[in-house]
Amino acid sequence: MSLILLIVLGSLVLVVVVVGLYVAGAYNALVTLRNRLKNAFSQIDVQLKRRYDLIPNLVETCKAFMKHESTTLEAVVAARGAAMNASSRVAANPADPEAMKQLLEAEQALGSGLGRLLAVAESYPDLKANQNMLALQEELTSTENKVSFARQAFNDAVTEYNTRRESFPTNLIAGLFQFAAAELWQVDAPEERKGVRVSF
Amino acid sequence: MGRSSSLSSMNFHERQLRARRNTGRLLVLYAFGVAGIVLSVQALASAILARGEQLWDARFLPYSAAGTLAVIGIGIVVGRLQLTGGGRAVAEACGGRPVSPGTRDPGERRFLNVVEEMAIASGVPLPEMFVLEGESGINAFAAGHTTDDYAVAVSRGGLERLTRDELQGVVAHEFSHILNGDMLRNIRLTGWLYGILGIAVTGRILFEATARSDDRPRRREGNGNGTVALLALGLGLMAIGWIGQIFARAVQAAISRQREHLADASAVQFTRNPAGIAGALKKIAGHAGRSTIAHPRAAAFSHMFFASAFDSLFATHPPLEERIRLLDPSFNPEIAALVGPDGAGDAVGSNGVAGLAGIAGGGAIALGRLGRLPAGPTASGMRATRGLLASLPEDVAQAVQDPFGASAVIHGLLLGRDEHAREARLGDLAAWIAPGLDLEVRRLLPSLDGLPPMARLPVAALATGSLLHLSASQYTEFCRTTEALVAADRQVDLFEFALQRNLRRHMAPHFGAVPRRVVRHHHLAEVAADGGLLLSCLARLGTSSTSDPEAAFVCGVDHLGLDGSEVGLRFLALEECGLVEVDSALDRLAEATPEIRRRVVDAAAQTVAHDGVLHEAEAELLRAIADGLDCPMPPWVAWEASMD
Repeated sequence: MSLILLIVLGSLVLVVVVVGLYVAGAYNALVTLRNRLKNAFSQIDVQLKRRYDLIPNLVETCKAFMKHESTTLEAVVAARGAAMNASSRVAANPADPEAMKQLLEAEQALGSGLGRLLAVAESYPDLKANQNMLALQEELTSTENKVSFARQAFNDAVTEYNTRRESFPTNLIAGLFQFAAAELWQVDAPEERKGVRVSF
Repeated sequence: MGRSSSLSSMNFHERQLRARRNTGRLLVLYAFGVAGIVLSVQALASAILARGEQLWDARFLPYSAAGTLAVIGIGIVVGRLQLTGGGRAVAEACGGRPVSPGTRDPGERRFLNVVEEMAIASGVPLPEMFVLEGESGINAFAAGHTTDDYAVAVSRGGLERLTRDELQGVVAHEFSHILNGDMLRNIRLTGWLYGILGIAVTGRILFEATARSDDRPRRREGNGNGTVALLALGLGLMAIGWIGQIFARAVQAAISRQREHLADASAVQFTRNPAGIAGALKKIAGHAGRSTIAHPRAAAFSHMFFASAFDSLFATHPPLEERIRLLDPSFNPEIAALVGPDGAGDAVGSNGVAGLAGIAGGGAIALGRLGRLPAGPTASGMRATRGLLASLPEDVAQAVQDPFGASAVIHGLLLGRDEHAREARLGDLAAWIAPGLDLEVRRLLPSLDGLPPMARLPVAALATGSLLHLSASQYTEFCRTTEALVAADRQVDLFEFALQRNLRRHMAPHFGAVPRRVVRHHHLAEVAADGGLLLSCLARLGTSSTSDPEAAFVCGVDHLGLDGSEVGLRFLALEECGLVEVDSALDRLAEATPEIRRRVVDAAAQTVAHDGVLHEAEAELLRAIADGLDCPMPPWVAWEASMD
């Protein structure tokens, strides 16, 4: 039992300790980043909920003026319901790419439904001048801006997580513990990116 | 006499200074412990290598000492690395989820409000706030290096089971840890504990690795002795590590228990309501889940919690019954003294603000010549802060609850008053990547313009809380825009400048590691020129009421406690008081000792209020500068409330 052997064994132990610490650190970092992207979604969620709350008011206000547009109104109500469902699924796990894709589709449907409703509203001068309608319109625009701002923060968090997940050697640990890639909230249509902004 | 009376006569810096001295003593104790461990390891190695024939072989000392110190060093580094992220890292490690500033959960909303009131009433930046989801026990903690990177967390059980008063008592207890300088001590303790833990972990790895390799069938002959020696070494190291842990935890627990009593007393001092914190403790005592925190990684941070997170031999907290008993005013005269007979003589009188004598009326306070400014939150200040926050215009109160609106609020506050310049800058804002931000600023401007001066810093503080939820790239954009807004200002508005600077200083640690601020200047003479520049600027620009700026400057210099001519302090011309100069002067002053910074702030107060009266707007300017020098001051409403 020589001193050299002791030193070699000591260094081996040291290496094992350091590698173990590295794996634990990388794992924890992945967990932290995934939690951050989940938290970033809750910022969007707050604004989405606010918008979902506005829509019934909007529909009610429009209903009072619109006589023959029940299909448009119903479409908006249905799209809102679908989007609310999808968003609660994403809120449960924002790192789930499938749920995120569904929410994107539902949101797109809701966006175009709202766009159609507001376009139809153009042809009702009384509705256009209605104070309640103007206030709702303003609130909707402002909320839309907040959603897009929060969406940017969320996408940044997703990118940070995905980048870390794919970088070497963290990708080995990500593979070992099954950290799946998260989905960005991408908005394809350029008019969507600006939010619903219809000027009267 | 007792703990509380010495506590109430100390300000923020004195408390921090004392905490630092205590840490020094702790360090000495720790060094003894480490020396003991080194000697034990040396004895162990000698004994094993000499096959038990002798306990000491000087030839091994350099190796065993170097090995032991290396392991302890690695442990400390690992422990520290876990905490480089500040309070957020601790909260995330314990499974905390940040509370969204726009949350609709009533329990979370109440928690946000209570913490916001407490932070604003203390004059410190808002912490990041976390909920320990899934923890049904009642507990909470505050963690961080400084007030720039701290976090306050509460368990879900705490949110759901505590009343507002009880929650306020718990939060006040945590804030007293912050204001008493306990957070940094806790972080150091965690690192040291990790260091000693490293010895035990190494022993365990050695033991298990050897035992496992011994299980393998293909073993060569003649190695048996080596295996036994390694097993013995592993076991021995484990034993030494665990004994060291017990020693360290016992010391930690003793100190921690003392700090917990101090924090309980301070909580009563802040809230004037012993029933709140006592009620929380009683609920913990009566609640089956008590204060247990289930998250496995929380163990390393047990000493940071409000109540014992684990049942253990070495309790980091005094027994609940004892804490409850000590909070009962009918039993404890110290608590009775803190509560006072009828709310009169609030902590102002006892807080060393002898110089602040009476109100001059109309949002101004007469400043005595040797007056000191209030330090630490008071119950009346807290009530006044709550009132102020409740009276904010609806649209502003709404806007600060999300990062987008909060950015708009800050930009709006930095726009200045000049209508023409505003339009140009709003145009610049429109070019920012966030669509509609300029519209949001426009929407909020009337309300922001209508804010009384005393509400501007609290509103900015609320906004900062939400801005912590920006992403890194949004933060970069935010910095660029605020910088541009201040730079576009031809006229130096010291308030706007200080506000922007402080916001970024408080936010920077959250968005990336910032170099630790170290104390470089131990003598006032080293930073006298910077102090002189600051006082010149304040005399020239900072006040509305001063008719004789030079006299105001001289008055301030007098209070610096320096002979102005000796170090060449002269009253600078307006052209010499540029933003760049002020910026670097504040940077250097921030690296001076707390006592020097406090003196500069006191001198600044004298300059600003040269006419003997401190007006609302002047006080807020002073607070903005004091904040930049890390001398938190309660808001103006608290000063006023304390005068009543």
